[in-house]
Amino acid sequence: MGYFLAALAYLALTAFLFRVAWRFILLSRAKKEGPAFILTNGMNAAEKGPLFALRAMLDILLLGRLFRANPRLWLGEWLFHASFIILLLWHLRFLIEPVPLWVWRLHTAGKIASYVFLSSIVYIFFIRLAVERSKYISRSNLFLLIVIFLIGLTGFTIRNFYPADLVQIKEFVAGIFCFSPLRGAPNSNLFIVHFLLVLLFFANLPGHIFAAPLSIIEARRRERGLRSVLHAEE
Amino acid sequence: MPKSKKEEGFSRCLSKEQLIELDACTQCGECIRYCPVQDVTGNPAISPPEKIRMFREFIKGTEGLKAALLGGEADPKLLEEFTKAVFECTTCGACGDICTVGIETQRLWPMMRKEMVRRGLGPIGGQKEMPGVVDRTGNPYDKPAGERFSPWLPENLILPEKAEYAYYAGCSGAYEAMPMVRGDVLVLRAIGEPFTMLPSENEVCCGFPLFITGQHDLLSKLVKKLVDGYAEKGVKKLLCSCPCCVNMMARDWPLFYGKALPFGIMHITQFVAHRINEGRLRIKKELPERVIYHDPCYLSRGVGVIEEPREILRSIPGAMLLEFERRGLKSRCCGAGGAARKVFHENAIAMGRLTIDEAWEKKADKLILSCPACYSKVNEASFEYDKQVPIVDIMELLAGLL
Repeated sequence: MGYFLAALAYLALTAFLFRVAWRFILLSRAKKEGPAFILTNGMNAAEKGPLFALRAMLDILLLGRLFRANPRLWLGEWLFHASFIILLLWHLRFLIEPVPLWVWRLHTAGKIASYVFLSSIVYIFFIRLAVERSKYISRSNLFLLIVIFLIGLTGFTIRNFYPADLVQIKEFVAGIFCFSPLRGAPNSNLFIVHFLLVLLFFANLPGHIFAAPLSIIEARRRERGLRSVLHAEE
Repeated sequence: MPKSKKEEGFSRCLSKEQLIELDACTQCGECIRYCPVQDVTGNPAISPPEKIRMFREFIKGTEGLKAALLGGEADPKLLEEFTKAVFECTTCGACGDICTVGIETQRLWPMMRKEMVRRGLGPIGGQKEMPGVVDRTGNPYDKPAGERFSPWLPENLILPEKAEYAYYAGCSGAYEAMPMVRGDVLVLRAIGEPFTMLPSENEVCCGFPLFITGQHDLLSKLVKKLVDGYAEKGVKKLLCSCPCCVNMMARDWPLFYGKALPFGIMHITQFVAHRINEGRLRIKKELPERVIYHDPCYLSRGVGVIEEPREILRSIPGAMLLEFERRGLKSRCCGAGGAARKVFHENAIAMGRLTIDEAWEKKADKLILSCPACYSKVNEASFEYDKQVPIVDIMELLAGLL
């Protein structure tokens, strides 16, 4: 079982790497500049410097554009993303030996994040499908939200109701990371489901995780330079 | 063996930035609430996130790993749906303004349209005739060049052969919104700064209708004729009242001309607001009325001219300026954009009536526009409609108050 799960993990990793490589190939073949980006008045130099970088960073970290578009959804999305990151960092205790002090210090935050994570997904579902006028959710987002919710739910259940053997899990994960997988899997069916769901999510990692920050920075630069498209009189 | 046009991938029509934007879409659907086509059709299948999803499918299906190993074709049914959706769009760009990851949709949709044209799937309906008509007559309305100026240009207007400023009327203004372009010229004459114009046979289409429908073949020829014509007249600033034209001139003319333009581009409201602020244009008459100003999509979201029309309206003695709920960068399309009105006429009329409805509910005495396409289409939407608000172009209004 251990070998089988490890093979799946390597398959998911390969799929992910292929997708990244494919995107780089597409980008490398794309036009350097097209009609969409020809601007005449030095707009490309409109925004540079540390203040611009700081604002762009805040736009990304605080999901500023989403806040402007829909504050109710923003609340759920921001809590979801923040708790997700905390949980990911907290999971490092399963991957690193010895566990760094800062990871141990995430104990309380991680515990709170586990509740917030699940609640925020339910909240996003509610806002999307029950409250908002557009009632729109794409098939891929629905699939990902369900997978993420199930990851959270299984993790939460393992942590709070059916604890798994942490030593076994650490050895199992370390084996995969060191390319010397163990023959056996941890003795917890819930963990195996949790692990498989993580692989499923990883194989289907949405491209916007990497592309959205770049697009947001470009949008800020473009919007700041909008007035310079025409030639106003001095 | 070289690949045929159809075999070449769909990603080839997009720049690097646009490919990143395509990937960046989170499919959050926030844009749906701002889409004017959604307002009047309520069909999420033709919404911005669905268009992006479909285009991603095309790229994956023709350029993905499976396609590379086994070959791949885009699903013909999906292509058909996509073509209709992308050409039904008014390209107003409201979806891009609200986009939570900042996708510049006002520039993305035209590139996707171009790809559909390259594949022989677009444009649709009457849009197909445009290149031939523009090539033959110089305008997309199939009107004689000799009638371009004569119905509205004041007979006693003296135009110098050469001048620092030139005025470009544009096809929609010259043939479809004559009170507007007449107003432009009357205001320019009142300012007193010499300006020139190209002869009617040389003032051809700026190329926007062809650009926006993805039919780029004629563009270099049109742009070269216009730019060289103004350059010969020693022009330093080209003035125009059509937001679509100024977009085309400022953003795309340099590309199709092959280098930077020898003159600058200004929207007429920028020029006039500046002259009013300098005290070089005085508005003598009062207008004790409530006026409401509609931001044209390609003027506000396209080139960021939002304040100048308001400065002009606020400088009119007695006038009270009202605002639409959605204004400035968030303005709602009147239905005239993206050449969609040529095919999806009922959508355009329904959108125009939404603009009229709000002006009427706010008890505006006049609905002020500053775009010939808006002017023409909202007037059409107003025809035989039970809610009536007089529709006036901003320069037409100003010319009557000098």
